Amino acid sequence: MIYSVYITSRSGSLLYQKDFKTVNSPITRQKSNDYLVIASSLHGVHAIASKITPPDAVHNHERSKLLANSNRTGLREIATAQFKIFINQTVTGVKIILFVSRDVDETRFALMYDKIYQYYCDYVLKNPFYELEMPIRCHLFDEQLNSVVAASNV
Amino acid sequence: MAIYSFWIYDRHCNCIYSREYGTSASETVKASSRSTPKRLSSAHFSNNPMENAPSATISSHSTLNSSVSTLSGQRKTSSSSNNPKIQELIQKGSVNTQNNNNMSKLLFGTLFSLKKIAVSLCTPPAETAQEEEFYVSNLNNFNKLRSFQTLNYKCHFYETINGLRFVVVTDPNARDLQTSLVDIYQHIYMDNVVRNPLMPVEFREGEVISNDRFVLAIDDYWSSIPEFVN
Repeated sequence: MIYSVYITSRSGSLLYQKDFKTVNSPITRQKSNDYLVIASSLHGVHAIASKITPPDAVHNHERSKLLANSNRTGLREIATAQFKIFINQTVTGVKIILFVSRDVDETRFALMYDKIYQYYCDYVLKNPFYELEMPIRCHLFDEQLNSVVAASNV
Repeated sequence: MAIYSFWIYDRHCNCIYSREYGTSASETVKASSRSTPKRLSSAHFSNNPMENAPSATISSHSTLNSSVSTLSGQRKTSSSSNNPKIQELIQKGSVNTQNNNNMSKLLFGTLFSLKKIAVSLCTPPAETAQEEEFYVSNLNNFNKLRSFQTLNYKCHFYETINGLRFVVVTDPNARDLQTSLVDIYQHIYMDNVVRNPLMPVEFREGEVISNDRFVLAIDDYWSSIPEFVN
């Protein structure tokens, strides 16, 4: 189940945020300011998480077979009692953050992420009226995202 | 699989116990030289004639503390396992040398903000100041942070209701170790710190758990779980 999708720019500002209505989603509605705060704290913590790597662990990512384009050492997954957060960073520094239910694992996340990234490229970046680093308001992207979420939420 | 470090923070956000396992040889040299001034400072505290009762506690701590660093040979024999690899990891590590450095503070800050995000997303917007206070306290049961991970390591987190935080940093492939942290709190921390009359109820800034039995029990616990050896 996908509960929400956030997209942040490479400087940490929130470009896109959407909560999906699902059965017993634990995520409650917040004030619009709070979403900005959450997105930018995740951006900061992502960078700090790579700083606090134990000295013995710095080469672990080379053995990892998980999907990671430019997210080799940063924060990747946060598990809480109610939901999980997956963060992935594209090569240009845009972060796609997924709030999902606890049963979603890395492989299922990879499938969802691939689709969402593809739609982001096709319907946001190829939109001639979209300016980089600006909030995303593209209704085609909204529709495609809804289809990804609908497929994963059955 | 490996366990890299173990941390305890009290409710005033001070790191009261830190333990590293199996860092490289150069690290150990630095660690031992850093631990010397700490012992001196605690001895200096015990000479303070102003505080009678606490000084007794602290001086007994400082003797315990020095016995920890000198009796490393004894630690070797009392460990439950005879696996040389485990012995090496325990010997090479350091106890309470990182409590106040950047690593400890960054780790705490990361966990603090992640916990805040996790809780705030599951709470409705607060209407009154009372509600607000309840939402930020540990008394509610809206959501709890369990762990976070990067491709290099995984960090498990457990917070008790009175604000004590237990953190363990492991290999990213490790299973969820929150139950182990609960176990450590309920059996090792309770028995050796809470029920120990020589331990303070509130740790002051710079005070750490230097109890020999506690250190040994923690080492035994972590070395007995299958994740400990790579």
